[in-house]
Amino acid sequence: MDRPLPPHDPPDERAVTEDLDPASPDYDVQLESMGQWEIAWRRFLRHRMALIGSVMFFGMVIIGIVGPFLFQYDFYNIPVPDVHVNAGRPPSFDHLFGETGRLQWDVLTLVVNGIRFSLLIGVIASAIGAVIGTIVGGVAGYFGGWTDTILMRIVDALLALPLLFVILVFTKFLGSGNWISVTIIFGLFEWLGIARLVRAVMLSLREEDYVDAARAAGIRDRRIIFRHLIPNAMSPIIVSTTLGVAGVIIGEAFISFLGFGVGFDTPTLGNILAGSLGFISQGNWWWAFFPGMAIVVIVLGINFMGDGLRDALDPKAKI
Amino acid sequence: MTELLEAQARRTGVGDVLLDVRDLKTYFHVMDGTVKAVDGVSFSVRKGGRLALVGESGCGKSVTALSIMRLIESPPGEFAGGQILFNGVDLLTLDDRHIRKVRGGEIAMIFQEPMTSLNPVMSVGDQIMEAILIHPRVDKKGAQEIALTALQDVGVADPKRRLKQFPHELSGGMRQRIMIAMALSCNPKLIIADEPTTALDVTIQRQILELIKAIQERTGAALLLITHDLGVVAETVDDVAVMYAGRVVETGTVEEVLLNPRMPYTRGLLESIPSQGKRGQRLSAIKGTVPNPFRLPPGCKFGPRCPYAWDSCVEAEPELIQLGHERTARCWLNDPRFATRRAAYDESFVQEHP
Amino acid sequence: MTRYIVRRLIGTIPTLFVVSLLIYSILLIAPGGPEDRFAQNPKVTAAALEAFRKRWGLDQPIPIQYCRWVGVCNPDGQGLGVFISNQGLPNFLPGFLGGGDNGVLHGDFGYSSSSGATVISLIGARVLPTTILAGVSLVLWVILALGTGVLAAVRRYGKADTAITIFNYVGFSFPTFWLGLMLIIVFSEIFRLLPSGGMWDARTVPIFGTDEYWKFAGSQPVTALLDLGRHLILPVVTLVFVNIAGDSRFVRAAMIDSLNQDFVRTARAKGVSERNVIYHHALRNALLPVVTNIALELPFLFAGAVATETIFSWPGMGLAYIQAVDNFDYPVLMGILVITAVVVVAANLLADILYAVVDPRISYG
Repeated sequence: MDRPLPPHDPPDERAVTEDLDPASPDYDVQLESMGQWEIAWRRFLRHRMALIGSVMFFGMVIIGIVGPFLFQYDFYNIPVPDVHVNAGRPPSFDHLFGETGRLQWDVLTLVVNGIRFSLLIGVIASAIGAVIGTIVGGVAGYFGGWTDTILMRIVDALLALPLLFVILVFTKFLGSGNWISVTIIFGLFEWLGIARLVRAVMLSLREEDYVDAARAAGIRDRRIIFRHLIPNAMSPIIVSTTLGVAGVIIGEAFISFLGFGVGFDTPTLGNILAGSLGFISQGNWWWAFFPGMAIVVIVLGINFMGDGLRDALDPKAKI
Repeated sequence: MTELLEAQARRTGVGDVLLDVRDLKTYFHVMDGTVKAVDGVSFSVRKGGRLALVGESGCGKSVTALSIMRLIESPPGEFAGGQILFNGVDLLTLDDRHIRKVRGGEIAMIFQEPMTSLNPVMSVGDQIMEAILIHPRVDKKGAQEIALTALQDVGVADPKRRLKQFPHELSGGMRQRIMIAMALSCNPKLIIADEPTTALDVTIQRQILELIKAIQERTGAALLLITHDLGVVAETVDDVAVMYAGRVVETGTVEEVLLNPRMPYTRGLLESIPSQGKRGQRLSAIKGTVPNPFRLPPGCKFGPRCPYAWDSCVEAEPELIQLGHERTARCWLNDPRFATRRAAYDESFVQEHP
Repeated sequence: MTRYIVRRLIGTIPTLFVVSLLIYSILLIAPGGPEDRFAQNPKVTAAALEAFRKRWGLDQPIPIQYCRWVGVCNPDGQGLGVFISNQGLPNFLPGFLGGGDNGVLHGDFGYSSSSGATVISLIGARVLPTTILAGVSLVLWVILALGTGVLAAVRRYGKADTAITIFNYVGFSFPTFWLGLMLIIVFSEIFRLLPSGGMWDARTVPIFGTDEYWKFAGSQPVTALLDLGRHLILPVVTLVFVNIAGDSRFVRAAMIDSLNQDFVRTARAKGVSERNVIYHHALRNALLPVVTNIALELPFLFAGAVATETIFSWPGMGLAYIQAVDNFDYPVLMGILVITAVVVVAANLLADILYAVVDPRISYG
C-alpha cells in the first residue's frame, strides 16, 4: 500500500463494511461534529491528484490574472511593424517562448494573455451553463409530467446534434470575433448535461418525505426547489461545472483555431494556435507548442481537480 | 492434493480436528488506519462437527470465514498472524494453485446474499457445473449428471429446466438452494454457511436451515455456520463460538453457552431473542453499539456496554479463561478473584430465567 | 424482440422531429445564407430576386418551407393538396410506394450552394474516407481501451494502474487538433517521415474514389495500400490517443464494479482460477455497459473526427462540414447535421438492442 486509498472504492469494501457499519451512531460521532462541506474539504485535501490538479489550475489562474500586467499586450492597438518577418525566432533568453513570424510577437506575452481570456471564457460559459441547466433540470424534475417530457425531449434532441457543429454555426454567423459573444454561445450550449443531472437528482429527491412535509406546510414550489432540492443536487452540479470549464476551453480553442471563434485582437489559446498554422511548415514549433501546453496544463488540472471533487463530495463515500 | 493433505495430516498427528484456527489475525489497512477485523481468533471444528460463529454484524465473523477461504483481498487486507490448519495443513501458507483446489473442492461456502451471489449473465447450470469441472475430473456430461443430482438433493423440482434458467428468473429461496447445490456438488469436507438465511423470508429460512442440516448429516461434511441469530444456532449446531470486536469471547457446546452464558455479552444476545416465556415483557437490547474499530476501548472491548463492568474491566482485557473441556469465556467474572461479583451475576440470571 | 425493436423505432420519431425542427431553425436564424448574399449583390434586380425566391420556395410561409424540406409537403401541391404527392398518395411515403421525391425523407437534401452538385452526392463521396479513418481507429482504440482498462482494474492501485491512469488523464486533456499539429511538426516537418496530411500522394496515386484510383489500386494493390497506410498513421494515432482515455477509464470503472460483486467472490470460493474469474465472470458483466458506451460513441467518431480530419486534410465528412461552414453552404450543413442526428439516434437504438441481447435480465416486453 503505497498510497492512501481513494474513499470511493476501497478494494474490498464488503469485507470492511461488514466491520465498520457507517450506520452505527458510534462511527459517526466524529463525523457529526463536522459540517458536510468541512468533510468534503478534508477529503479533498487528502486526494493527492486533486491537490496536484488544483496547483496546476490555480497556478494558471494566477498567471492569467497577474501575467498580463507583467507581459503587457495592448490588443486594441496592434502595432503595425515596419517589416513582416517570414519566420519566427526560436526561444532565447530575451524571448523565453520564442517569437512569432509575421508580426514578430513575443510568444510568452501572447500565451499569458491567451490564458487569461481562455480561462475567462471557460469559467463564465460554464457558470452560465450551470445556471440554465440547474433551472431547466430543476423544473423538469420537480414538476414532472408534461413539463418534464417536453424539456427532456429538447435536451435529447440537442444532444443528438454534435454540439460543436452547432456552436460552429453559431459563432460563424453570430459571434465571430467578439470574445463575449463566443462565451455566451458556449454558455447557451453547456447546460444539457447539468440539466439531466439535476433532473435525475430531483426525481429521486421528490419522493423524500421532507419534500412532502414542505409541501404540506404550504411552502411555494419555487422555494422548495431552490431552498430544499437544489442544495441537495449541489455536489454533482459542482463537479460537472468544474469539468465543463475544461470542455469549454478545449471547444473554444478548437473553434478559434478553425477561425470561427474569437478574433485575433483578443488572444485566446486557440487563436494563437490558429496564427501558428501557416508557420508550421517552416518548423516554427514554439509558436504552436507553448499555447497548446498551456491548454493541456489547465485542462489536466481541471480534470484532476474534478475527480477529487467527485470523490470528496460523494456522500456515499466514507471519510 | 487430497493425498497431500492426508499425508501431512498423518505426519502432524492430528486426530479428529478438521479445521483448527489458531490465533488468526486479519487486518485491513484503510485510509484512516488499520482495522483489526479479526484479532487473535482461535477455534476448531471436528470432522463432521457443527460449529456456529455468533456475533453482531461487525464482530469479524464473516472476515474469519473469508480468511479461511483465503478470500481476503490484499491490499487492503493482510494476514497479520496465526494459522488456519485444515487437515493439518496451514491454509495461509498455500500458494494460489493449491488454495484453489481447497476452495470449492475441500471447503465450500454458502453466502448471505443469494440475490447477488450468482452471476447474472450465466445460466444456473453453467455456474454449478463450473465448480464440478474444476475439481473432480469429470467430462461435461458427467458434470451435468452431478449438477442434476445436486439440484434434486436440494429439493429443486424440475432440475433439467432449472439448469437452463438464469438467476433473475428464480426466487430468493430457490437461488439459495442453487448456492447450496453448488456447494455440495464437489463433496466438500467442510461447508461454511455465512448468514445463509438472513436475506430470506422467514418461512423460507427454516426450510433452508433444515436443508443445510440434512445435507450436512447425510454427507458427513463439517459445518461452520456464521450467524447473528442465536435461535438459528440452537436448532442447527453442536458447538458455539461467540465473537465480539474481532475476538472470541465465549466457546462451548450449545447447551453450555445458551443455558449458562459466562460472558455478559452472550447473555445480552440471549436476552434480546423474543420467546414464548418472555411474552408480555419488554425485550432487552444490548445498550450502545459495536465500538468504532479505529478506537477500541481500553481493557475489555465489551466493557463500555456491559451492565456488570467495573474498574478491572477497564484496566486490562481478560484472556479467554478456561472453564472446562473446550469451554472458555473472556470475562473477569470467571476469575476466581471476583467470585462475589460472579455470584451476583449468576443470581440475576437465575432470577430472570427461572 | 421484433416488437421491441419496432416500438423503439417508433419512439425515435419524436426525437428526430424535434432534431429536424432545431436544425431548421438554427439555420433559419443564421444570417449570410444564399438569399442574403444574392440580395447584397448590387447587380441583382428586384425582379430577379423575386424569381430567385420563388424558385427556391422562399416566398412560402416558413412552416411550408420546413414541410417541403422534410419531404412531407409536395412543392407542386396547393392548399391541403400539399400533403399529396404527384402520384396521388401521401407525400411522405417512399417514392416507390407512391410518395413524393422531394425533401430529406426521400434523400433529397437539395443542391450545394457553393458547387451546385447535389448534397447527397457530395456527402456520399465523403463517407468512405471517414469510414476508413474511423474504422481503423475504432478497432485499435477499443482493443487498447479494453486492455488498459482491464489491466488497471485488476491491478488497481498498483504501478500499472497509476501509469495507465496518468496516461488516460493526459490523453483526456490533449486537444485533438493540437496533438495532430504536434505530430505533424515532429514526424513530417522535423523528421520528414510521414505525410502531413491528405489521403493519397498526388504525385504517384490518382485521386481517391475516382475510377482511375480503383484501376490503380487493382493493378498495384500493394503500392496503393502502403500509400493509404502512410497517410493513415498520424490521423489514427491522434484519434486513438485522445479517445482511448475515456473508454479506458470507463472499462476500468465497470470492471472494478464487476470485480466487487458478490458473484465474483462466489466464483473464487468455487476455486475458479483468477484468470477465469477476471475474464469469464467479471469481464463478461463489465462488457454490458462498455458495449453500450461504445455504441453511443460511434456517431461522434463518424461525424466528430472533425478536428482530426481538418488538421490532416482528410477528405471526410468532418472536413466537408468545416468547408461548408466556411462557404455558408447551408444545404450541405443541414444535410450533414441531419445525417449525423439520424446516426446518433440509430446508435442509441443499437445500444439498447445490443444491451437487451447480451443481458439475459432484460426482457423485451
